[in-house]
Amino acid sequence: MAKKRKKFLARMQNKFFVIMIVITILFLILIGRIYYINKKSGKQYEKIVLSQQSYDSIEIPYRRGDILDRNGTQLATSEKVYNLIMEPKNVLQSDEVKEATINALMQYFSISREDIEKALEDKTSLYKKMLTKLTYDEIKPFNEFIATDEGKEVKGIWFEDEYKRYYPHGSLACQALGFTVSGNVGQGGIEGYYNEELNGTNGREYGYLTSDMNLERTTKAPVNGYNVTSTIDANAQSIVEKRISNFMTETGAKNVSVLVMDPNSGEVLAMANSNNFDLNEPYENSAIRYLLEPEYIGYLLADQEVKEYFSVKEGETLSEEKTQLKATLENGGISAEEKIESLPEDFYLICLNKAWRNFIISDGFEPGSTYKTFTIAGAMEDGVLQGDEGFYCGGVYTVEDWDIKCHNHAGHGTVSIEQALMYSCNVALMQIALREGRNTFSKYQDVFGFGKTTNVDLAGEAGGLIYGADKLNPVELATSSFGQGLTVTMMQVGTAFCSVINGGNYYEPHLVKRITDENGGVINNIEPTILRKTISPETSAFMRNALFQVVDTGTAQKAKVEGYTIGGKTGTAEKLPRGNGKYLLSFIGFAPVENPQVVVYVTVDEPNVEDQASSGLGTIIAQGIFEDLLPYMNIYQTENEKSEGDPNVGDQIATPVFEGDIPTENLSNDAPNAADTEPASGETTGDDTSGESTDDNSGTDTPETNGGETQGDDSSSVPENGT
Amino acid sequence: MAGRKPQSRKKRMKKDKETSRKATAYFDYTLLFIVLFLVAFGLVIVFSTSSYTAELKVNDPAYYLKRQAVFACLGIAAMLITARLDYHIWKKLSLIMMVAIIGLLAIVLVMGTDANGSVRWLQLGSFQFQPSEAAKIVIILYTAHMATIWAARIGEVKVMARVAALPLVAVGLIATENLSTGIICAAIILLIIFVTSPKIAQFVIMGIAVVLLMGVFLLAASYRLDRIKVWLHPEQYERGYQTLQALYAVGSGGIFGKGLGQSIQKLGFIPESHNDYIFSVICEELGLFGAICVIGVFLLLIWRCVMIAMSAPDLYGALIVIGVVAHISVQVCINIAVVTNTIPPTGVPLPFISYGGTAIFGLLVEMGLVLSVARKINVHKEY
Repeated sequence: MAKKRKKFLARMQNKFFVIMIVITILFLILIGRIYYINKKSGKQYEKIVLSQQSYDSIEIPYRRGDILDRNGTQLATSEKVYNLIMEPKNVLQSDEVKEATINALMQYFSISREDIEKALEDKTSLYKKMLTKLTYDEIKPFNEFIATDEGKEVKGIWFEDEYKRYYPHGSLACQALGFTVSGNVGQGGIEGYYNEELNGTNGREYGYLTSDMNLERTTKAPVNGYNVTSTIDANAQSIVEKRISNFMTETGAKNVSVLVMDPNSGEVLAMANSNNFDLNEPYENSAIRYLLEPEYIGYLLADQEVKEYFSVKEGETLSEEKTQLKATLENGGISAEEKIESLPEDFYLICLNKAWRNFIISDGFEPGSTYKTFTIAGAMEDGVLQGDEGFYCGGVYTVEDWDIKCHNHAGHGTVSIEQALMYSCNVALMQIALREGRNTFSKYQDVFGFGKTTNVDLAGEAGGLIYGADKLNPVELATSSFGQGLTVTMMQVGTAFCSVINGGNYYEPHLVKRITDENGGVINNIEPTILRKTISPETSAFMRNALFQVVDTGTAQKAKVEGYTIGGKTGTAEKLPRGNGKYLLSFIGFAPVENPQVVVYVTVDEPNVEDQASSGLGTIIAQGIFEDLLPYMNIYQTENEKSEGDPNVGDQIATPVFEGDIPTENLSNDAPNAADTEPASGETTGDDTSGESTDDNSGTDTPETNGGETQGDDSSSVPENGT
Repeated sequence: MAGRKPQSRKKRMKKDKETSRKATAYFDYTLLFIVLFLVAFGLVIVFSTSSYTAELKVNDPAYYLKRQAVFACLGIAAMLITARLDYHIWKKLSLIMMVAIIGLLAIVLVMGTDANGSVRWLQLGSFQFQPSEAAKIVIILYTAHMATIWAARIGEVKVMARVAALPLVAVGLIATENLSTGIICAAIILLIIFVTSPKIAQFVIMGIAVVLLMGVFLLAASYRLDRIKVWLHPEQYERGYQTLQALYAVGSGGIFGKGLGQSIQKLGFIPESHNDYIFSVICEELGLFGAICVIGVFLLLIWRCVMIAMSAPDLYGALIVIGVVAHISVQVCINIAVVTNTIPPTGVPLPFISYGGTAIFGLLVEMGLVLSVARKINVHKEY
């Protein structure tokens, strides 16, 4: 048999050999493939592998710090809530466990069977978030149940900790506080500016399998965020907000903003705008409803941004949706609620941004006569004025062929410096500024911090726009002297005003005074910082007295509060385009005059009254605030026979003189405060010129100055900052 | 037979003491060592991969290890016995075995135990028996025998068909329920005939025909086409989960791996990680280095077998070894290719390493056959 055996022939061996070489090459290709997978996706897969271990590595959230008011009242806090997590893999380990778990979930959390079954379809999953933000009380009965013998069958359910931001006072100080989005990201206000301090670091619970296959756990504790103590006084804030809200119901305006500061430290005590929203639901309809109420819708439609939204390019027509939307908005028969429903997303966002906007720091505006305070203080400090000068006001003053009028066309006669302030005389101010010259005027603009941000600790601050020394040609200088043609923010005016009355210390304004850890240990004390000296104590004393005179016998008599000495200055600025009868009224005041404890600054934008200019509404609101605030702040009444004088006298004088005694028929060209300055070229360059030219009584066709033109553009497009 | 040993011993003693001793008691210890190493390594990895599942399911982390160890021991015993037998005895038995196995496969098709969806098992008392594993051995023995008989005329298509007829019936029965095992069996038959045949062209034509048939086959059933889609984009399909998890394991191992026993993916992410996807855990725990070592050991095994085939005393012995080599190499290739998502997923265990009693027993018997062929090598002549 052995002989008959066939041999494994050479040709067969060769074929076999070749096949085996091919197979060996295939093996090598597979090695290459493994190497390729490692090289190309190794890092990514490693992460995926680790991230799949959600069961074995649970994140423990930190608690975002509280925001407290200066007295320790909670303004913003974080509450612990619980997310219900189901682990389908563990629930499905047996039919009994599955039934018991489903029944318990249905009973204690009223989740429907369908929802549970649906989540269980992902059989191998170990993480299904079934419910979010449950309170402790909501999960308590369930936890008690699973502790019983009956509840032992329930498996694969646990609660994940989370924190929910909560604002106990709802809308109080909403713009100053800001809110949080997507968990712990601060948006605007203190929440935004101090986001990093408020946030902490997440902890983690690691699970690992020991050699005995037991799941061991170690915990890295989370580091909670720091608490932030604000300078805001919740009581002062509510006094201010109550006054604003009363005004809004009684009269209404496009916007009312109030800033209350401590002049001796730069601390902001209250900061409020008429547009407020509930911080607990900043994205809800309630935040923007006021914009669409009948009394406000006119302001909204006249708004620059809204106009742009509905604007069309040459030769194009407005899209159907936008036409429809505009018609809906303009239709008085449709309720605000229905209008909200009809808003497209982009328009809704415009509305939200308006509701959230903090006018006090984010919007520049022409301050008007309140600015005279700084012109005079600067001139006094620089020695341009000695204090005993007199200026003649004939009702109009000619600067380089331009006739710029005083609001009192009849003229104030010869006025002293105090009287210039008391009567808010434009002509006197122009003379002072021109005497100073561009460099000195510019220097004091800078000293008082105009044209640059105050570095207040809030997100989204604007800087305002002013003429630099090189652009301060006589006309610009003249109009700037009484606060027209330049823009400022309320924060800048408030801060600078504090320095004028507190002896010349320019404090850095701030809203946060202390940062502490969760145990109360101080991390950072923010002490009042004097950035610079603006004026001497003597000048300051002079200014305090002059400002007292303004309230006592001048244009701001409506600000008087019985028993207190109050100083202050009004402002009435005609808005661009001039001649539309739209004004921004303001008042900035302080009390008591002898030892200033508080500064209140009020602006009222386009009040809903017939004659905006002479309404004196800023002063009236400020008076109301002083009335409530001074007793609350334990500021003692000062015996002052002057203030006890016949209040009617003051009123009588005040009303006609009060910056708005220009007859309305003249308004087209005679802005009570500023306006006859045709070169304030906003109106000539950008807006309706026909009205201007007809009653351009100055009749001057002087070419516009460069500065004027730029400024006109600038002031109509106030920088939009931040948020 | 018995007379041959003393005879040759005498012959060689005259010439060379060294070689004669080898020739008389030739046993391929190298191959034995490689096989034992693979089996032992397989047991370690089976324990590593299965302990988590075993703990969960039967509360005994070593459950799968113990079962596998029993089969490995039985298999080693069977291997040593087979190695001692003269492989020519299988010639006479091959036809009977072939017919028997076809019968068994048919029975399984009709009344097998359902495990993992497809019907592949036959319950014999308390043991499940997978006839397809036995079929591989029978196919090797039968085809080798037939090819040896018809070696001279195997180039004729008619003859070739005659050689392959019965094995292909078996393949058909296997492929009905388990395509991948069918493909492996077909590859064994093809390789034996290809090596024996003096021709090449007809195999090329056959190859083209197979590719076309495959196309038709895939398009015929939509679930097969789905498999292709899952293969190309495993992340988009739920059914790609296993493939994807295996890829994560392969990719996350790095150069030296996470260390033996340190796999994360085996903790429930790769379902049944001790079975078909065991190689992915090897990659994760032992890294690229470990994977190359394992593949290297397989190459060593294969080339050791190639050497034995080349030195085989006769064609029958060589063809048996070729059949075994074809089985192991094709199966390793398919397994690793599936784990690395190089080809569409199909369930093929990794020889010697994956968990599976019948499989390891069968493989060890095959190695016994190779060893028995090796015993017949006339060392003196060859070296």
